[in-house]
This record gives sequence, C-alpha cells and structure tokens, in this order.
Amino acid sequence: MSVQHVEVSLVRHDGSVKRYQVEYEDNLTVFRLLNKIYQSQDQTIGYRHFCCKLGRCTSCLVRVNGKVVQGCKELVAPGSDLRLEAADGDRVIRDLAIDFEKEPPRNVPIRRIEM
Amino acid sequence: MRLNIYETDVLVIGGGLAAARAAIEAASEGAKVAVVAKAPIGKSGASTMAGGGLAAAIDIERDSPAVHYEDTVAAGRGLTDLELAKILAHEVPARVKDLIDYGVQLEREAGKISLRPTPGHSNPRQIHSIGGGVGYLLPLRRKALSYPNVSLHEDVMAFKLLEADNRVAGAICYDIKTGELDAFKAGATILATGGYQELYPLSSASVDMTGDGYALAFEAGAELVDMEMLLYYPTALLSPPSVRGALLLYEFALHERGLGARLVNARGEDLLETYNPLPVRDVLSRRIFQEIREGKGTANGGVYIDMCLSPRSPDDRARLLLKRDPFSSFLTSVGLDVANSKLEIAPAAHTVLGGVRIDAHCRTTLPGLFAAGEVAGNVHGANRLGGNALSETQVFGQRAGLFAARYARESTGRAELRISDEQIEDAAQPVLVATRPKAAPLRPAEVKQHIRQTMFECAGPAKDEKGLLEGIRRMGEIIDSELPRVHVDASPAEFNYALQEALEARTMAYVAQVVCQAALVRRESRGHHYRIDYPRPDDSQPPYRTRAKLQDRNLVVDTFSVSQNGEFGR
Repeated sequence: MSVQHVEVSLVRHDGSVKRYQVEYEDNLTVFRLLNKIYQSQDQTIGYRHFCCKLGRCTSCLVRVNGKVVQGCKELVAPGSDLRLEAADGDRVIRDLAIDFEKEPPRNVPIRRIEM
Repeated sequence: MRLNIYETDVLVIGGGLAAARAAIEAASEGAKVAVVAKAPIGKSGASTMAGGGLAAAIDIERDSPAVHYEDTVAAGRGLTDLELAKILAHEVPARVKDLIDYGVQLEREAGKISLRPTPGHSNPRQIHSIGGGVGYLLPLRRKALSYPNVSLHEDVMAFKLLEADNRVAGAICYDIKTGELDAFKAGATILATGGYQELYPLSSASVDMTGDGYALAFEAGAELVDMEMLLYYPTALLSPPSVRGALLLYEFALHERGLGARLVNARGEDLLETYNPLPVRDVLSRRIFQEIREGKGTANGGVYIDMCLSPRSPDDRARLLLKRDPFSSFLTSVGLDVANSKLEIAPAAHTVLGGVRIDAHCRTTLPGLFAAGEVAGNVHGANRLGGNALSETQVFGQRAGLFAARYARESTGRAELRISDEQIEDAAQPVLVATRPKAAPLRPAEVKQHIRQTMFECAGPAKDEKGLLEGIRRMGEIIDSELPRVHVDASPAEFNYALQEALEARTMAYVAQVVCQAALVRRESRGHHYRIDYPRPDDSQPPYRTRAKLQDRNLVVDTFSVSQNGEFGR
C-alpha cells in the first residue's frame, strides 16, 4: 500500500500561510498532526502542546477549514487538505496559540531592566 | 532582553490543584500572592488530566480517617511518612467541605455524595467531581481570583530560585507569552509543580511534567527524597499514537463487576488468576512488565486488554463505559471502538512518589521554600492508593499556603530582600545561553528524546546496577556535551515553545541524574521500585529513604531511616 498524506496550510500570526505535507497514520487527529510537524519539520510553529487525553480541557482549540474544533478529537482523513487557523483571531499569541487569560496579571512590575 | 521585577509575599509556582489551593489559603491569610503557571490553569498539568477521584473518609457511619490512614500506610510498603499520612487522612474531609464551598460539583445519588470502592481502600471512599480534574480546577481558580490580593501569571515558567539573606527569596521565570523574563522577589515560595513523568517515553501525565520543581529545589540546595519512587499506572494505551498514554481504568475495565474484560499477552494467555479482588497498582504493573520481559508482549512492548473476552454483552459494555469510565469517551472520539476492541496497553509513568523533602508544615530543608502536592515527597511511600493524589493536593496545598503566608509575615519583608541586578542576570543565564549561536546545534526536542530513551533503557521499570551506572554515564554525557549545544532562535519572542523546551531539557537532564543515582543507592525492591539484582525488600534494616542533595556543587546521595523524616536538624 502506498503511503498516504495530508496536506496542511497553516495560517501564521502575521497572516502568511505555510504549507506542510504530513504522512497519514491510523486514528490521526489534528493535534497529533501538529506534533508531527513540530517534531520533524518545523519547530517554529506556535501552538499549545498540552493534551489532557480526555478531550476536556480545550487547550488545543483550533479552526480547521473554518470551523472551531478540539484538535485532540478532530480526526483527519487520508488525502485531505486542511487549513489550520487560530481558534480566536483576536487573542492570538502566535500562530495557533491563543491567550486564555481573561484579565492581565494584577501584579505590576516594580521596575524593569534591559539585559 | 527585558526583565520585569515583581514583589510579592507568597510566590506559588505551579498551576494545578495544590497550587490553586495554596494560593487560596495564603490569600485568605492576607498575603499578597502571585501564582506562576507554565500554562493556563485547567488547560495544563497533571490535575487537568485527573479522572476526578479523591479519597476521603466522609462516611462517618461506615468509615473513618483512622482506617483511611491505615490503608494508606499499608499500601506504602514501609515508606509512608506516618505523620504526613495521618494529616492526609484526618484533614481531607474538611478539605472536601472547602471544595463544595468553592462550587465544585460532586457526583451524587439521591442527593448523597457517591462513594466508589477503589482497590486498597477498605471502604468506599472515593468521591468524584463532575468534569474530572477540570471540575475541581476551574472553581478553585475562580475562588483564588476572588481575592483581590491574588495575581495570576499564566504561561510563565519558573526556572531558577532566587536567594537572599540565606534563604529562598523568589524565582526567576520565562514569560512564554512575551518572551520576556520575570523575577519575583517573594517573602515565601511554594513549589507545586507536579512530577517528572516526561523523563519516560510512555507517560500517562502531561507534557508539562518535566520535573521543574525538583530541579529548582535541588539547584538551590534542598534535599530530595526517594526520587527513584515512580508510580506506574498498569494500563495506559500504547497505540495508536494519537491517544498514546491515555488511561484505561483497569479497576473498572477488568473487574468482574465492571466491564469484565481480560488481560492477555500477545499469545492470548490470561495474565491474572483472579479478577476479584484485582491487584493494586505496583503488583499489577510488575506482573505486566514480567510478561513483556519474558518476550510474551507485543512488538511495541505491551499486552492487551481484550474487551471481547468479557462475559458481558457488547451493548452492556458500551452502556457501562459511557456511564462509568471518564476516559473512554475521548478514545471513542478518535475512532476507537473501546467496548469491542483488543487494546494495546503497558504500564506508564503516572505519579512521582518521592520528591522535595517536607515536614508537616510543608517546609522544605531550605528556609523560605515550601512544597505541596506531587512535587513533595514522600507522603505515600513506595505505592500510592488511587484517589490519594487529589487528597494530597488539597490537604498539603492548604497547609503550604497557610504556613508560607505566616513565614512571609514573620520574616524579612519582601521589599527588604536584597537581590542585586547581577544576581538576577546570573540567574537568567539558561535563557540567554540557549539563544546564542552554536557550532553543532541541537534541537531541544532531540535532547529530550535522548533523555527519555536513556531513562527507558537504563532506569526503566526493571533496574539493575549495570544499567543504572550506564544511565548515569549517558546522562553525564548529555549534560556535558548535548545541553551546551541546544540552540533556539530568539525570534519570534512570543510563544517560542522551543525555548521553553530548552529550559525543560536542562531540567530533565538534572532530574534524570538524581533519579538514576537514587535508584542505584536503593539496593532492594519495594513497591514501584524494582531492582532485578535485588528482587526483595531489604529486611536487614528499618525502611529507609534515599536522599539526594547538592553539596559543594556535587550530587550526593545517602539514606536515612523513614522514622526520622520530620527531623531536619535545623
């Protein structure tokens, strides 16, 4: 059997689109796919690496082909073409990683130094 | 690179249940509290992954804290800290009341809190939150933030403790969101950072569990005890990769009154003589490892839980799974037919039992430094009962918050702590070094992989002297010749996960060395610690702890009697 692939277009924080090709495997999810890209193709992609393995915490929220889903539970079909974007465009830290903090820390620095 | 300096009375490092509980208690004492969590609370760490079971003797008619205490001690194989276990069993009912006050919803039947039986507990005493670990965390997070004197800093990773006036005086942290550094000067510092499961290739815990708290404490000179004691959960999924490390609850899947599935090797031979009662975790893990070692496991190094061998009907199994197993719906969502499958499993690194040595006030051996939850050792001993981990977070989280707040109030105020800019810049070195150009650069993820592979091969579930010495040698090599080559681009500054991994790789290498050395010194098998060359408990001397500390920049490991735990000799 020939190796099947998944085509990925990842929308980065600056609006540019980077393309990746990922080898398909059984039960492939969007979250696993991001891990595969990070591990073997591009360590500069920004996304949250935590997975609660329960499908509960929503740390991995991501927009896949326009729809917001939990990456850990979103199955990927072999041969599919995915467009991945941040789940919430207003709260992007970088690429797919979004800021979950509803308010900034209350503590403010007493001073700053530049090193 | 910009560095922001903050001041606080109590600094809590960690974002799980112990950290949140500590923050609440310290805040209620009137302390100014800062919480730094490597990732958002409820979306990271070990607590988020908990099934939700918490052991507490709250049924006063049928159960008592005294029996809970006895069960805990019996499971610990002689290494339980009796004083801490007594505190655990006796204080946890009050902490459950707190949880209900904070708005945690517990499973109930006809209005009464449901209590589930768990192997090793004499009475049903496991309460369950609705929503698992997150079901506890979010109300605790809300409660903590209801105090105006609490400041929450999420996506901030502590990587070095600060010292002043011969005591711990805060920490320096990497702000993952901004790429800046944050130094917290603190009157008291609490570690609640969880375990080191990421040292192993199969972990049921979170990617965050890189042992940060042990490394922070160790580098500052604190004592770590029983670091070789790693609890394996017997049945975590080995495959498919998407769900690797996810738990399959054997207490439920294999029990006659549960799903009634069977545990079989690659040849289809049954591994257990009886499924009622089921063996506790260390016994079952050892049984499975033995099977794999004898070559009767799968090609991936596992065995199977075969649902199809259950006397129950497929419909019955599916219905029960839906109702009682909090973990299985996730497996279903990635396309596994759990009720009708042969699932490939192996024991996974699940909880660390050893850790930073504490006393009943959660004080470590360093003034100004406190610890609670998994990072602290060794409340449980050589094995831990199901449900006692969450109990520990609440009981010792509360204590750490209380005693740290008092310490901060009674000792030098945060503003008087003298920490020079040079000291802060020196502490910041690990971040600065990682971004400097290197001749033969390595990705941090590669180094982490080498550490995991080394630990699996040399300090895995079945250890011996030869393997451990080899592990120590290879870890020394990683520290000397791989860590200095770790390179990460400084830009982009925001959410540069590779830079976080560079700090974690460093942490992991140091903790791995400690684990290997401690395992070498424990020349016996006990609970979850198994030595092929010393297969039985050493009954020639009273049960002892291993103790690791940094002395004149050298790692020194010795032992002391378990009965001496509370005596720090200061």
